[in-house]
Amino acid sequence: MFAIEVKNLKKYYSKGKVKAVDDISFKVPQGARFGFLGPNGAGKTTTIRCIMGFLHIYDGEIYIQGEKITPVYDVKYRNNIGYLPGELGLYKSMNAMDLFQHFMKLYDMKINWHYVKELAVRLELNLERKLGELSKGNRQKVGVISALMGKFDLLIMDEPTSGLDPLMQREFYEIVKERQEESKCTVFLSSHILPEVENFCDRVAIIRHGKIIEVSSVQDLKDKSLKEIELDFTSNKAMKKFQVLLEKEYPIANVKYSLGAHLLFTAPPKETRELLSVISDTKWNGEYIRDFTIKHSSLENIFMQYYRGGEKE
Amino acid sequence: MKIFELAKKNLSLNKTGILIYSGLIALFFFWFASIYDPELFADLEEFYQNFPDAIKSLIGGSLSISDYNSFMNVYLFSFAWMWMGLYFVLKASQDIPTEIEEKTIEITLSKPMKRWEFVLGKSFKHFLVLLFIIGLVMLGVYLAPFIWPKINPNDVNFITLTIAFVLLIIHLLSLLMTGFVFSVFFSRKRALALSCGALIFFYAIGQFYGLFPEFMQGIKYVSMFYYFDTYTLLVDASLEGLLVNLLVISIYSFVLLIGSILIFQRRNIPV
Repeated sequence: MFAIEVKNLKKYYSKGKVKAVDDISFKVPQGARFGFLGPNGAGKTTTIRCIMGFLHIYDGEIYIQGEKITPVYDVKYRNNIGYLPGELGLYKSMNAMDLFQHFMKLYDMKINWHYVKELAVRLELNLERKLGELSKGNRQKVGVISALMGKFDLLIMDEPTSGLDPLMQREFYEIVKERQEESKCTVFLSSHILPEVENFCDRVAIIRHGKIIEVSSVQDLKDKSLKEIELDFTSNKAMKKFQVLLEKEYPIANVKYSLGAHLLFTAPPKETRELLSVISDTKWNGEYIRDFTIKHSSLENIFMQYYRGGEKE
Repeated sequence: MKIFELAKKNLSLNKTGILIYSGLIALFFFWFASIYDPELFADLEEFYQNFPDAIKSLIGGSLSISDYNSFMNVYLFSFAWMWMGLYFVLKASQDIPTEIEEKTIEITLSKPMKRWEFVLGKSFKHFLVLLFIIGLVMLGVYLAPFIWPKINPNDVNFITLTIAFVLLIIHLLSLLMTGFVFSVFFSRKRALALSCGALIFFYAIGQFYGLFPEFMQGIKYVSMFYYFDTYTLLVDASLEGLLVNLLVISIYSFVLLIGSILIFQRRNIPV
């Protein structure tokens, strides 16, 4: 059973002329920390809003905790969802405590003030101030607490750290991580801050122009992504000799930088192994290579590869 | 229960405005009653009766203001759409669009709350505000005969006055629901423009249908103003047609409420 399963979801506007989400499918395993990545307008928020029932879907199926839902009409499934919208609107004349109490009544749950106050202390939020007087970051903290305050099995958060300063962003991920490890809940979040997603999520889906182009674990994505290889030869001549070989035998490799005896290039994982033995076993202009480093691509680099037209088939 | 919770929370968010408006309007009618003088208004009524028929037709053919109920009929009930109707239309037409534009709707509807519960909660809040305001206005109007020396409480027919207030509540509810139905699918500005336009349109055909060519006069039946007949109640002290009027306006409001729910269910909630 999956926490979220989306099958062939389509959301079209203007009688099908605008395809905000176009036939996407993905599964979020129970207890996963799932990142939903994509640039502005890719369809992340539309997907989330379809799941939450704000938008009528054009076609497709959505399953939450194994049960098929009709998002706009079914509401029972939302009992188990803590939701933080991408653009958070709050009632300005209320304070956070009133708001939380109101929400818990809509959930028909009893509020755990001890936990709420603990979160407020960690996020440095004054619960008694009117929401209209709070800064964007502090309003976001109110949204974060409202998504975490119940015993939810599934947390859906659209750009959760938007407006939070770096310290608070770190604190936010700490809190969610603790919560996730403690309750084994599933976390589904969309974010633009890729290093955070890389550190926090174990699986990601990448969406582009309304289509899912990759669903994978972060590690698998890194493993099958291009490797960055940095070489230090003993001389410029040695480096040039290698570069000639590289361009002739391994055209798939892409030289990013070369200066003096230094060369930086990327290559697919399969070629990397072969290249390494060639590099280390061969004398270049009479001498072995001085030093080399292989780096895994960061999630940010992988993301960029997809978006710069390097879409993997 | 969620309907009540939503209505309660919405009331608490707007309580200052509601208290100020209701207090002012109740005080206004309490004070306004003080200008009623049976002798003076009997003379005025005679003066009105000498107006040309064309002018009289603009005010319903005849004008009766010589007793307290008739006086209230002219100055409170006939202009209730202006004193209170506009307020309710304005409030009802702005409610859901404001929630959408300020994006507060998303965090509320992400809770396990059905859309019809949301719509009912919102309309229930408006109904409660309506009852509260009319309650205070009634207090002012009922207290006046006992406070102001020129009004004799024994000359006031409190029964027909109370029934007229019930009819007023149902009438204002229909105006409120007209504004509300626009609010479930239009933006703030459009909902306001359309509901005020509808209010004026219905008022015009409900009040001035007599000026239209005869073949067009049947249009009066579509206006809720036509069924808001307090003249028969307060001037003639008759209950004739009351039940039909109450029923038609109630059904009108009910249909608009159901329509609002159905439209709101079908719409997307934009970002």
